[in-house]
Amino acid sequence: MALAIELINPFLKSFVNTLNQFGVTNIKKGAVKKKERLESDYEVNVVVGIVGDVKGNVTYNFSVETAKNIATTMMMGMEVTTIDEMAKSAISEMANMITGGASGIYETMKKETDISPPTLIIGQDIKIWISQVETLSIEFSTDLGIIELNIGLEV
Amino acid sequence: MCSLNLNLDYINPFLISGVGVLNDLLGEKPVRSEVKIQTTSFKSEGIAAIVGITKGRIIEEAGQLGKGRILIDMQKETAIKIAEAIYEEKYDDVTNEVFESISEIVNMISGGGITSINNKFKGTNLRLSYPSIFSGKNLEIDSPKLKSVSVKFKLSMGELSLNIAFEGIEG
Repeated sequence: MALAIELINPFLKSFVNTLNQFGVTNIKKGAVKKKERLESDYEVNVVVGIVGDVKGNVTYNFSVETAKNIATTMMMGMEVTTIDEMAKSAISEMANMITGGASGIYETMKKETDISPPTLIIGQDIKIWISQVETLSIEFSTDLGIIELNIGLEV
Repeated sequence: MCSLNLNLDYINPFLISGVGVLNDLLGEKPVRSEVKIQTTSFKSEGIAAIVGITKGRIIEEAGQLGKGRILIDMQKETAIKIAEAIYEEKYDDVTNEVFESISEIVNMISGGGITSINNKFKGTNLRLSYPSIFSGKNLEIDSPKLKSVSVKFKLSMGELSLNIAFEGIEG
């Protein structure tokens, strides 16, 4: 696998850390797979760019149902029934925290990185193209629903 | 939100870059629409390419300018025609070459824009992420916490929208 595991691990760690902070502890990590196709199985997609010693994009993908659960959790239990402006802000904050956490772990590895603001893309029949080289994909099963990470990074 | 006083120092460089890049790559001068403040979610025409902007070090003169995001958007047919014009080939669908063409355009427009801003405001060090591209149906695109403006460029291949978003874009 061309994309070194040391580039991926900070995201896996930060994902678990971030969700734990919001009381989500039942997290099962699926296998790390090479992304062979562009189609996204999910309607809600958040992309964050990474600049510096590690460069690329990471996307967080999930269903509308999972998005509502994430927003409810991020907003400390205030029930979210539609993906409105506030829910979008909460969802993008989660992506920001996970990516920021990974950037912090890179720093301990002497890799300086900075992250872009998250962008949310919601719709149907979505295709995602985030890297000219290789994209890896990991699915997490959580109490909030399934959350997929797509990671396209280079050093 | 409509009374937002936008700092054109951050918008104009991307408008100038947009016209220049499209003219250079496609060999035709695009017709630019008025700039509109984006007050709702951005509705995609089918294919959207995104570049994130990180802020690096900012000096006082550059005001409250923060992180940002550049987005270009168009119909799939327009993206295919643009790729055909760049590669001088025919494409039946959104192939890798189409993604690469759109990716190159958003990268060049963004690069031109941040270079102007970085040169104008000494000590500013805006940097770009690699482009990401999304296609699909009924796509709604949001960058929470950023303020954005949209402009359209008319080309013989169709229309291309450019959306410029920044934290602290108010002047």
